[in-house]
Amino acid sequence: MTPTAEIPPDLVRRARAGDPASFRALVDRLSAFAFNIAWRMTRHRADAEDMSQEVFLRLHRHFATYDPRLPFFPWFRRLTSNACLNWCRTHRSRRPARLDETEPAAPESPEPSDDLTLAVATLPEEQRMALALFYFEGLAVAEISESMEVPVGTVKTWLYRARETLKSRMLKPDEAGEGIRP
Amino acid sequence: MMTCDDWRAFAHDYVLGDLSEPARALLDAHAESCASCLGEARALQRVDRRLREDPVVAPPPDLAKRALEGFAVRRRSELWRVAAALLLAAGVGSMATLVPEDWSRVPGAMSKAARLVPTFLVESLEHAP
Repeated sequence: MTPTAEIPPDLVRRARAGDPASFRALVDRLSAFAFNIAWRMTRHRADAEDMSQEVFLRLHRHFATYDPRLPFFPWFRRLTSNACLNWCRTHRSRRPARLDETEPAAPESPEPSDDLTLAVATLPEEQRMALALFYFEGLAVAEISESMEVPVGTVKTWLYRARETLKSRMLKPDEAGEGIRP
Repeated sequence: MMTCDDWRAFAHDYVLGDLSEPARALLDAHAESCASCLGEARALQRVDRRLREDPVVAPPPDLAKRALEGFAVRRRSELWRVAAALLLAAGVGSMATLVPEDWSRVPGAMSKAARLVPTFLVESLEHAP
Protein backbone atom coordinates (compact mmCIF):
# COMPACT_ATOMS: atom_id res chain seq x y z
CA MET A 1 0.00 0.00 0.00
CA THR A 2 2.92 2.33 0.69
CA PRO A 3 3.03 4.77 -2.21
CA THR A 4 6.68 5.68 -1.56
CA ALA A 5 7.82 4.67 -5.01
CA GLU A 6 5.09 6.74 -6.59
CA ILE A 7 6.02 9.98 -4.83
CA PRO A 8 8.68 11.85 -6.79
CA PRO A 9 11.18 13.53 -4.44
CA ASP A 10 10.83 16.63 -6.61
CA LEU A 11 7.14 16.85 -5.77
CA VAL A 12 7.94 16.61 -2.05
CA ARG A 13 10.60 19.30 -2.40
CA ARG A 14 8.25 21.70 -4.21
CA ALA A 15 5.38 21.04 -1.79
CA ARG A 16 7.70 21.63 1.15
CA ALA A 17 8.88 24.88 -0.43
CA GLY A 18 5.28 26.12 -0.37
CA ASP A 19 4.05 25.54 -3.91
CA PRO A 20 0.25 25.10 -3.50
CA ALA A 21 -0.25 22.97 -6.63
CA SER A 22 2.50 20.56 -5.56
CA PHE A 23 1.11 20.36 -2.05
CA ARG A 24 -2.32 19.55 -3.48
CA ALA A 25 -0.82 16.86 -5.74
CA LEU A 26 1.08 15.38 -2.79
CA VAL A 27 -2.05 15.28 -0.62
CA ASP A 28 -3.84 13.55 -3.50
CA ARG A 29 -1.19 10.82 -3.58
CA LEU A 30 -1.18 10.37 0.20
CA SER A 31 -4.92 10.45 0.76
CA ALA A 32 -5.56 6.72 0.24
CA PHE A 33 -2.91 5.81 2.83
CA ALA A 34 -4.05 8.43 5.38
CA PHE A 35 -7.73 7.62 4.91
CA ASN A 36 -7.24 3.87 5.30
CA ILE A 37 -5.22 4.27 8.48
CA ALA A 38 -7.89 6.68 9.77
CA TRP A 39 -10.65 4.26 8.76
CA ARG A 40 -8.96 1.44 10.69
CA MET A 41 -8.72 3.71 13.73
CA THR A 42 -12.33 4.96 13.66
CA ARG A 43 -14.37 2.53 11.49
CA HIS A 44 -16.51 5.56 10.66
CA ARG A 45 -16.30 7.40 7.33
CA ALA A 46 -17.00 10.93 8.55
CA ASP A 47 -14.55 10.55 11.46
CA ALA A 48 -11.94 9.00 9.15
CA GLU A 49 -12.29 11.98 6.83
CA ASP A 50 -11.94 14.42 9.72
CA MET A 51 -8.88 12.51 10.98
CA SER A 52 -7.32 12.52 7.49
CA GLN A 53 -7.81 16.28 7.26
CA GLU A 54 -6.05 16.62 10.60
CA VAL A 55 -3.14 14.60 9.18
CA PHE A 56 -2.82 16.94 6.20
CA LEU A 57 -3.20 20.04 8.35
CA ARG A 58 -0.33 18.74 10.46
CA LEU A 59 1.70 18.01 7.33
CA HIS A 60 1.12 21.58 6.18
CA ARG A 61 2.14 23.03 9.54
CA HIS A 62 5.15 20.81 10.17
CA PHE A 63 6.51 20.34 6.66
CA ALA A 64 9.48 22.58 7.46
CA THR A 65 10.63 20.08 10.11
CA TYR A 66 11.04 17.35 7.48
CA ASP A 67 14.67 16.83 6.53
CA PRO A 68 14.67 16.37 2.72
CA ARG A 69 17.86 14.29 2.84
CA LEU A 70 15.84 11.50 4.49
CA PRO A 71 13.09 9.39 2.88
CA PHE A 72 9.78 11.21 2.99
CA PHE A 73 7.30 8.40 3.55
CA PRO A 74 8.55 7.04 6.92
CA TRP A 75 8.47 10.64 8.19
CA PHE A 76 4.91 11.06 6.91
CA ARG A 77 3.87 7.71 8.41
CA ARG A 78 5.15 8.84 11.82
CA LEU A 79 3.30 12.13 11.45
CA THR A 80 0.12 10.23 10.48
CA SER A 81 0.44 7.91 13.46
CA ASN A 82 0.88 10.82 15.89
CA ALA A 83 -1.95 12.85 14.34
CA CYS A 84 -4.39 9.92 14.42
CA LEU A 85 -3.57 8.99 18.01
CA ASN A 86 -3.95 12.63 19.07
CA TRP A 87 -7.26 12.85 17.25
CA CYS A 88 -8.50 9.76 19.12
CA ARG A 89 -7.39 11.15 22.49
CA THR A 90 -9.07 14.50 21.83
CA HIS A 91 -12.32 12.98 20.62
CA ARG A 92 -12.44 10.18 23.19
CA SER A 93 -13.30 12.67 25.89
CA ARG A 94 -16.02 14.23 23.76
CA ARG A 95 -18.07 11.13 23.06
CA PRO A 96 -18.31 7.49 24.09
CA ALA A 97 -16.96 4.71 21.87
CA ARG A 98 -19.63 3.59 19.46
CA LEU A 99 -20.15 -0.11 19.77
CA ASP A 100 -23.59 -0.24 18.24
CA GLU A 101 -23.48 2.60 15.74
CA THR A 102 -21.51 2.17 12.57
CA GLU A 103 -22.19 4.50 9.72
CA PRO A 104 -22.94 2.68 6.47
CA ALA A 105 -20.05 2.77 4.06
CA ALA A 106 -20.35 4.90 0.95
CA PRO A 107 -21.50 2.95 -2.10
CA GLU A 108 -18.04 2.94 -3.67
CA SER A 109 -16.48 1.42 -0.57
CA PRO A 110 -16.45 -2.19 0.55
CA GLU A 111 -18.91 -3.05 3.29
CA PRO A 112 -17.05 -3.44 6.59
CA SER A 113 -17.36 -6.78 8.33
CA ASP A 114 -19.47 -6.06 11.40
CA ASP A 115 -17.93 -8.37 13.98
CA LEU A 116 -14.44 -7.09 13.13
CA THR A 117 -15.65 -3.47 13.23
CA LEU A 118 -17.26 -3.91 16.62
CA ALA A 119 -14.38 -5.88 18.08
CA VAL A 120 -11.72 -3.44 16.85
CA ALA A 121 -13.72 -0.53 18.30
CA THR A 122 -13.14 -1.94 21.79
CA LEU A 123 -9.34 -1.91 21.47
CA PRO A 124 -7.18 0.91 22.86
CA GLU A 125 -6.08 3.32 20.12
CA GLU A 126 -2.41 2.27 20.28
CA GLN A 127 -3.40 -1.35 19.59
CA ARG A 128 -5.63 -0.24 16.69
CA MET A 129 -2.76 1.74 15.21
CA ALA A 130 -0.32 -1.17 15.60
CA LEU A 131 -2.82 -3.49 13.88
CA ALA A 132 -3.36 -0.98 11.05
CA LEU A 133 0.36 -0.63 10.42
CA PHE A 134 0.97 -4.38 10.66
CA TYR A 135 -1.96 -5.70 8.63
CA PHE A 136 -2.84 -2.85 6.28
CA GLU A 137 0.56 -1.30 5.74
CA GLY A 138 2.39 -4.63 6.08
CA LEU A 139 5.12 -3.19 8.30
CA ALA A 140 7.47 -5.32 10.39
CA VAL A 141 7.37 -4.88 14.15
CA ALA A 142 10.63 -2.89 14.08
CA GLU A 143 9.18 -0.47 11.52
CA ILE A 144 6.01 -0.01 13.60
CA SER A 145 8.19 0.67 16.61
CA GLU A 146 9.93 3.41 14.63
CA SER A 147 6.67 4.89 13.33
CA MET A 148 5.01 4.92 16.74
CA GLU A 149 8.19 5.87 18.59
CA VAL A 150 7.91 3.08 21.15
CA PRO A 151 10.14 0.06 21.91
CA VAL A 152 9.82 -3.10 19.80
CA GLY A 153 8.65 -5.05 22.86
CA THR A 154 5.76 -2.63 23.35
CA VAL A 155 4.58 -3.15 19.77
CA LYS A 156 4.79 -6.93 20.19
CA THR A 157 2.70 -6.71 23.36
CA TRP A 158 0.10 -4.46 21.69
CA LEU A 159 -0.24 -6.82 18.71
CA TYR A 160 -0.42 -9.85 20.99
CA ARG A 161 -3.09 -8.33 23.22
CA ALA A 162 -5.06 -7.02 20.26
CA ARG A 163 -5.22 -10.48 18.62
CA GLU A 164 -6.19 -12.12 21.90
CA THR A 165 -8.97 -9.57 22.48
CA LEU A 166 -10.26 -9.91 18.94
CA LYS A 167 -10.20 -13.68 19.26
CA SER A 168 -12.34 -13.60 22.36
CA ARG A 169 -14.75 -11.02 20.94
CA MET A 170 -15.11 -12.17 17.35
CA LEU A 171 -15.29 -15.91 17.75
CA LYS A 172 -17.95 -18.03 19.45
CA PRO A 173 -16.77 -19.69 22.69
CA ASP A 174 -16.30 -23.06 20.96
CA GLU A 175 -14.19 -21.41 18.23
CA ALA A 176 -12.10 -19.17 20.44
CA GLY A 177 -9.85 -21.78 22.03
CA GLU A 178 -8.93 -21.55 25.69
CA GLY A 179 -6.94 -18.37 25.49
CA ILE A 180 -3.33 -17.71 26.19
CA ARG A 181 -2.03 -16.29 29.42
CA PRO A 182 -0.68 -12.77 28.86
CA MET B 1 8.79 -33.08 25.36
CA MET B 2 6.84 -29.93 24.50
CA THR B 3 4.11 -28.90 26.94
CA CYS B 4 0.98 -26.83 26.20
CA ASP B 5 2.58 -23.87 28.01
CA ASP B 6 5.65 -24.15 25.76
CA TRP B 7 3.42 -24.34 22.71
CA ARG B 8 1.33 -21.35 23.71
CA ALA B 9 4.36 -19.19 24.34
CA PHE B 10 4.99 -19.39 20.57
CA ALA B 11 1.39 -19.57 19.35
CA HIS B 12 1.29 -16.09 17.76
CA ASP B 13 4.65 -16.54 16.03
CA TYR B 14 3.46 -19.96 14.87
CA VAL B 15 0.31 -18.52 13.32
CA LEU B 16 2.19 -15.62 11.74
CA GLY B 17 4.78 -17.99 10.26
CA ASP B 18 7.60 -16.28 12.15
CA LEU B 19 9.32 -19.47 13.34
CA SER B 20 12.27 -21.38 11.93
CA GLU B 21 11.44 -24.66 10.20
CA PRO B 22 12.70 -26.90 13.07
CA ALA B 23 10.72 -24.89 15.66
CA ARG B 24 7.64 -25.01 13.50
CA ALA B 25 7.97 -28.80 13.14
CA LEU B 26 8.08 -29.15 16.93
CA LEU B 27 4.93 -27.05 17.34
CA ASP B 28 3.19 -28.94 14.52
CA ALA B 29 3.95 -32.24 16.23
CA HIS B 30 2.49 -31.01 19.53
CA ALA B 31 -0.64 -29.55 17.89
CA GLU B 32 -1.32 -32.87 16.12
CA SER B 33 -1.59 -34.63 19.44
CA CYS B 34 -3.26 -31.82 21.47
CA ALA B 35 -6.81 -30.79 20.60
CA SER B 36 -6.67 -27.76 22.89
CA CYS B 37 -3.58 -26.24 21.26
CA LEU B 38 -4.86 -27.12 17.81
CA GLY B 39 -8.10 -25.25 18.63
CA GLU B 40 -6.06 -22.30 19.82
CA ALA B 41 -4.06 -22.25 16.59
CA ARG B 42 -7.20 -22.37 14.47
CA ALA B 43 -8.84 -19.56 16.45
CA LEU B 44 -5.80 -17.33 16.06
CA GLN B 45 -5.58 -18.20 12.36
CA ARG B 46 -9.20 -17.09 11.88
CA VAL B 47 -8.51 -13.73 13.53
CA ASP B 48 -5.31 -13.28 11.54
CA ARG B 49 -7.12 -14.09 8.27
CA ARG B 50 -9.94 -11.65 9.04
CA LEU B 51 -7.45 -8.87 9.68
CA ARG B 52 -5.56 -9.62 6.47
CA GLU B 53 -8.79 -9.67 4.48
CA ASP B 54 -10.01 -6.36 5.92
CA PRO B 55 -10.65 -4.50 2.67
CA VAL B 56 -8.92 -1.37 1.49
CA VAL B 57 -11.41 1.51 1.66
CA ALA B 58 -11.66 4.10 -1.08
CA PRO B 59 -11.18 7.63 0.27
CA PRO B 60 -13.74 10.26 -0.75
CA PRO B 61 -12.70 11.40 -4.26
CA ASP B 62 -12.48 15.04 -3.18
CA LEU B 63 -10.63 14.42 0.10
CA ALA B 64 -7.59 16.49 -0.95
CA LYS B 65 -9.77 19.39 -2.14
CA ARG B 66 -11.81 19.35 1.08
CA ALA B 67 -8.68 19.12 3.24
CA LEU B 68 -7.22 22.19 1.53
CA GLU B 69 -10.51 24.08 1.84
CA GLY B 70 -10.52 23.08 5.50
CA PHE B 71 -7.14 24.79 5.97
CA ALA B 72 -8.55 28.04 4.61
CA VAL B 73 -11.60 27.87 6.87
CA ARG B 74 -9.46 27.12 9.92
CA ARG B 75 -7.07 29.93 9.03
CA ARG B 76 -9.98 32.42 8.71
CA SER B 77 -11.47 31.16 11.95
CA GLU B 78 -8.12 31.57 13.73
CA LEU B 79 -7.81 35.13 12.35
CA TRP B 80 -11.32 35.87 13.59
CA ARG B 81 -10.41 34.68 17.06
CA VAL B 82 -7.31 36.87 17.13
CA ALA B 83 -9.32 39.84 15.88
CA ALA B 84 -12.05 39.18 18.45
CA ALA B 85 -9.51 38.95 21.26
CA LEU B 86 -7.96 42.26 20.16
CA LEU B 87 -11.40 43.89 19.94
CA LEU B 88 -12.29 42.63 23.39
CA ALA B 89 -9.11 44.01 24.86
CA ALA B 90 -9.66 47.34 23.10
CA GLY B 91 -13.35 47.41 24.13
CA VAL B 92 -12.67 46.77 27.79
CA GLY B 93 -9.96 49.42 27.75
CA SER B 94 -12.27 51.97 26.13
CA MET B 95 -15.12 51.23 28.51
CA ALA B 96 -12.93 51.96 31.45
CA THR B 97 -12.09 55.41 30.10
CA LEU B 98 -15.27 56.37 28.21
CA VAL B 99 -18.09 55.34 30.54
CA PRO B 100 -19.47 58.47 32.18
CA GLU B 101 -18.89 58.62 35.86
CA ASP B 102 -22.62 59.05 36.60
CA TRP B 103 -23.61 55.99 34.56
CA SER B 104 -21.38 53.76 36.63
CA ARG B 105 -23.52 54.71 39.62
CA VAL B 106 -26.73 53.36 37.97
CA PRO B 107 -27.39 49.97 39.65
CA GLY B 108 -26.62 47.07 37.30
CA ALA B 109 -25.55 49.23 34.34
CA MET B 110 -21.91 48.22 34.41
CA SER B 111 -22.64 44.51 34.81
CA LYS B 112 -25.11 44.63 31.88
CA ALA B 113 -22.53 46.38 29.72
CA ALA B 114 -19.89 43.87 30.77
CA ARG B 115 -22.17 41.01 29.71
CA LEU B 116 -22.88 42.59 26.32
CA VAL B 117 -19.28 42.46 25.14
CA PRO B 118 -18.75 38.70 25.53
CA THR B 119 -22.26 38.01 24.13
CA PHE B 120 -21.44 40.04 21.04
CA LEU B 121 -18.11 38.24 20.66
CA VAL B 122 -19.62 34.78 21.05
CA GLU B 123 -22.26 35.58 18.42
CA SER B 124 -19.59 36.96 16.10
CA LEU B 125 -17.48 33.82 16.47
CA GLU B 126 -20.46 31.55 15.89
CA HIS B 127 -21.16 33.33 12.62
CA ALA B 128 -17.51 33.50 11.65
CA PRO B 129 -16.71 31.77 8.34
